[in-house]
Amino acid sequence: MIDFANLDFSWLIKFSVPLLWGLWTTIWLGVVGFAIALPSGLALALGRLYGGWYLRLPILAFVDVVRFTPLLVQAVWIHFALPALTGHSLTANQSGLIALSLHVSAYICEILRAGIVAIPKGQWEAARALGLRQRQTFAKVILPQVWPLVMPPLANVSVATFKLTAILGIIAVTDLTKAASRANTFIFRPLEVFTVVALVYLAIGLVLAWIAWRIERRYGAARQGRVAPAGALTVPVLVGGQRGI
Amino acid sequence: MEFDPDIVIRNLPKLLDGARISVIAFALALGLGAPLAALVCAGRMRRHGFLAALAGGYVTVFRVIPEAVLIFWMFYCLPPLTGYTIDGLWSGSLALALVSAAYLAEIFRAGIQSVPSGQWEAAKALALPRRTLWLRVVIPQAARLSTPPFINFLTELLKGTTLLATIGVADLALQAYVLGAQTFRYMEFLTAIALIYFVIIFPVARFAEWMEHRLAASTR
Amino acid sequence: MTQPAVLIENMNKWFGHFQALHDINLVIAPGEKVVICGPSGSGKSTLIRCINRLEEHQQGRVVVDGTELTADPKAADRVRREVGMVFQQFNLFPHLSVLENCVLAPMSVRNLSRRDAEARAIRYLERVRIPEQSGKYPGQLSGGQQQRVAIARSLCMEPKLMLFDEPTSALDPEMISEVLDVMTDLAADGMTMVCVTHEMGFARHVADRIIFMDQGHIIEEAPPATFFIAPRHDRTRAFLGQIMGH
Repeated sequence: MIDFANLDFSWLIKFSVPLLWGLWTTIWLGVVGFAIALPSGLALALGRLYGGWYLRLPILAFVDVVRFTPLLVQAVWIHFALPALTGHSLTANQSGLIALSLHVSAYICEILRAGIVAIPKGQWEAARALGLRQRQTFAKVILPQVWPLVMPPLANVSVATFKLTAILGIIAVTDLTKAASRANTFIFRPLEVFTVVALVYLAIGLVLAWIAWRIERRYGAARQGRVAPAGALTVPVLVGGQRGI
Repeated sequence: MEFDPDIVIRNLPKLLDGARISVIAFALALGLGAPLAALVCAGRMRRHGFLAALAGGYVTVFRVIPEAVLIFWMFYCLPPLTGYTIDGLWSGSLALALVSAAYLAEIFRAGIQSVPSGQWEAAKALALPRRTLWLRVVIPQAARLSTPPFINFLTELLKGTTLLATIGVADLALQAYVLGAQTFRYMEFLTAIALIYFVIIFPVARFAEWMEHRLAASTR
Repeated sequence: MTQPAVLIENMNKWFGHFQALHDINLVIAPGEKVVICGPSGSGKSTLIRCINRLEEHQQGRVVVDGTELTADPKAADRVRREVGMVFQQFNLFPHLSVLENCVLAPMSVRNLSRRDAEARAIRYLERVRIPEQSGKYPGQLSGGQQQRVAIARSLCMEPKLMLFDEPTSALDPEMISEVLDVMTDLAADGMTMVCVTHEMGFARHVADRIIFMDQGHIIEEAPPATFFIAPRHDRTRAFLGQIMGH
């Protein structure tokens, strides 16, 4: 059994630089990954909904392959297998960022698609009857109604993105988890190291979840007023907020 | 470069070993997680009190902490905390079980809450005892509504088992990775397991989607 | 004097800060048929739901069949065993067949054997004129049929009192009469009934007494003859004018 009087946290100071660097890596990977995934997801959703078959089919295939395989496998594939195809090897951070943003963009695509589809046909018809063109209708009538619907699931995906960064250590991205593992090999104080790290992750996660909860509460009413066709919105909400691993 | 699928076939026994480990982790996580989820859900159904707060805290913490971090924590900290040596497969599966319990509890709760209030009122007006109310009226309807998200969750859990690779448990993903490293044939092995996961998950997820559409159509 | 079926004394009910019912006094004798009407939001549904404690009152007394409704769940249980309720939205159990809907409560509350419960269910399904549908599920029936099953389901508990909360409001017009016919039969057999309804034809023929409510108050109560021909209160007259005027 452990002797709690013997816990030693002095290593925190000694290893503060690599640990903070790891924390920084975790944060920027999450933020940049999400920032790339959001517009990519929107582009994918638009292509999937309004593109010709030559756009729709590849996007459908891409989104399904990404959603239905584990991120860990994707990351390892991009980092180790892809260079054999392209002839270029990528740094761990590059591979990690690519894997993360591709993965998240697929989920965002599904959320936005479901949100757009949830707007009743009557809105399109009314706008057409008023003489609006298709592009105007989409930008001025449809999209403003989509945002409140998709904000809560998108907030959940942002939490998921942050959680997913912890997987990238498998390809030697030195995020907080990996930095902690490395520090642990020097001092071998696993209990202290991993408890502190877990608490840091928990703290960040709680802040993000709190923001997501605020957004959910703010926009929840908008979502209740409208029944998404066949509960389409609920699938990505669950999967996105869930372990999108 | 040339693509050599034979190398995958030749190493099939090792991959099958990995698949066996993945299946064990999946079964352990679900077998331990689902009963725990029922308990957490029971706590979540209370409006006030210590149990409600405990269950709420549980769900929040285990949905927010990255699974990989929890797996690391359990792997390194359970042995010194408990004084036993615990195999990575067990500690990892236990971590997945704890996380699964949080998600499943919320799935169960959502199912129960989507049983219309009129059903509760009718049961009350008929003076049905609590047991009958739950077993005959609420749970059958909640189970129907929870099935699609439950199936979806199973696919997420299967993907989640690959995280055990991060602590060196030789699951399917790690086996493929190691074989790739040994033979420098990453492309073959990693593509093969990506395909395996896809082939398993795709039909299941599509089935859940189809079922959800059907349920939504029937309750409208 | 016999014990009243329902006795409500100085009852007040709030939803948060909003007072839904003001100082309600009401005595209903066994065998009596009472119709409650009034504009929407007048508190008539809330009142009827206080009788089987689907809503809790905050002040005053509600005594049903000799049992006073209090915070004690046993009192509510005892009352609900003797009081049937029919809802606007039917609230049949969609995952159970018509027969299962009918035998569930008698078997688990009255401890009837399945055979006895089914015999009873068939008897009451015949009485509401749909014995042939007993194997179907609620979703396969029309609204009128569903509501008649809901009535049979309540009757299977052989209640002393039946509450009807706008039983025809969710029905297509052509199905209203089949439900009202069943209710009229039930009244003729001597059932004590409290009905919230806008069906003034039914009220005129079946009710012993009509209660008019507005904004949580009982404004007027009278036998149908007086109520329709010589309502005392302006608000009653206005309401009757609206509902019968076209």
